[in-house]
Amino acid sequence: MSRVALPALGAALTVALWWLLTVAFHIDPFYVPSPADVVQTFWRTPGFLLAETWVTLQRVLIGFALAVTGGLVVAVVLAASRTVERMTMPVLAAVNAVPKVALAPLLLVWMGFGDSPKIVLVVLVSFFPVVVATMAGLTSAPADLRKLVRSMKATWWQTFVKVRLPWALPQIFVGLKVATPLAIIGAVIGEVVSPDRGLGSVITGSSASSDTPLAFAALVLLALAGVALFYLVAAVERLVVPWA
Amino acid sequence: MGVITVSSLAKTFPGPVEALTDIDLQIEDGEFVTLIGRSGCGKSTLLNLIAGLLPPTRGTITLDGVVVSEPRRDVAMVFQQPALLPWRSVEANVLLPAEIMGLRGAGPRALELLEMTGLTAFRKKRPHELSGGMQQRVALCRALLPRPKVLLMDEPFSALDALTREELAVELQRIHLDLGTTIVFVTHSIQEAVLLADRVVVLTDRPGRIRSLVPIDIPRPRSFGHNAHLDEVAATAARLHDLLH
Ligand SMILES: Nc1ncnc2c1ncn2[C@@H]1O[C@H](COP(=O)(O)OP(=O)(O)OP(=O)(O)O)[C@@H](O)[C@H]1O
Ligand SMILES: [Mg+2]
Repeated sequence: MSRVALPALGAALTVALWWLLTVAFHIDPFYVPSPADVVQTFWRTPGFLLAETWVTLQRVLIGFALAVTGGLVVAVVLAASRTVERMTMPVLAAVNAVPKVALAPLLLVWMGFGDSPKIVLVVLVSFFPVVVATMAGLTSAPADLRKLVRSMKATWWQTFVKVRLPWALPQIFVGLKVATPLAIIGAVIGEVVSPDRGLGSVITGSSASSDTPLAFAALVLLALAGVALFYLVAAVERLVVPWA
Repeated sequence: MGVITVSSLAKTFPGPVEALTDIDLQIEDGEFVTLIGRSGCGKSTLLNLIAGLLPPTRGTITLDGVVVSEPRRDVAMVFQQPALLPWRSVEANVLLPAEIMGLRGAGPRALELLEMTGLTAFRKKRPHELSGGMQQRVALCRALLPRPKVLLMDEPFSALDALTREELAVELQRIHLDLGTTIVFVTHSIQEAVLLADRVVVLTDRPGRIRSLVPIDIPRPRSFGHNAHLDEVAATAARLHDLLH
């Protein structure tokens, strides 16, 4: 009950506060539109906005799936060999330190418009949290437990499947939850830098035509998409990691 | 059989930290040996060496005449922490060695062990639903599942409260009597050492050497209850206490 009621109440209060502020301070909708303005804008062209949301969401989902798959594979390889880990970790850390936003124009040069630069950006921003969390998880099984399976002469594969991977799952999900909003941010940055379709492109277009309520409608849709994705990951987590 | 022979054993860790030196010890088949010594004197190291988890720096360890150079599946371990898999039921935890070692038909054996330790009613529960003492019983069942010749226990009851500890100590004696497994048991508690052992091995401070081997001839089963041989227990405990200080 409170699992649904409390978050709903929180959301309702936030919207109420937003509304109150715009009314109380007589804020010009050109700067900050009220919730009503935003809803009204949405209902002007609901089909269009939902279609653009879907475009962004697809890029997010494809990029996220690639990042998670790649991140898991890379983390497993790194955790399997100390040598490889020592060799690659500095490179990974360096690449991760590069501000991904700065790469967006480059990606545009390399890949032009269309889906690919956006998806690549999503992968770039959400890949590292997955790698880092998975690696931390894979090395987190208690020492006694590792000693125990070693004393049973478990193979590397048995140890991995029966102990290390399940032990890593809660932390892997922490990484996924960090990566979800980043994935959306990555897609939007891509769309803002090389606008074609998607909510990021809507925002770019709306500021060109000074349509602030439209930009806000896009932002609200992005926030809703973020919340939906987050709860989707959380739901999968409850399914996969019921013991945590 | 489960005869352990330790000859001229020494272990030095990089540093160098000399953990153990000049250890000569013969443990008979079915014997219950407890190992006491102050913190850091090398008790866990000796256990890990016997388990084949660490290579000795000098000397050898043999089990039934075969040099121990790697872990063996007929040697089982129990640690201070139960080290159970939180996502598995009690029963599935007990069956882990069967899966790893590819033992068939271990199901009835697991049920038998759970029955023996009074855990039958809890076999479908997850570890976090059990008390610390029950979790340690599960770890014991898991260790006993493949019918090991040797059971190595590193302060298995140290994390438990005094009452549970004594309860488990009594239970472990019964199990030892039933199964005849050779047991090497590390403890910080002199009381526990006396209560459980056929023989107590007292180690010196680091580098650990054998200070004394004390046979305990008090009749079993021993406990701190009123039919216990309290005077003998107290006298032996006092003697061990002197050896440690
Ligand atoms: N893997 C290791 N690398 C380096 N030094 C180690 C290692 N394992 C143990 N030592 C050192 O060897 C000595 C003996 O350690 P050990 O764990 O065997 O002691 P212990 O008697 O079991 O102590 P405690 O009663 O506190 O459990 C300690 O000084 C410890 O620091
Ligand atoms: Mg120890």
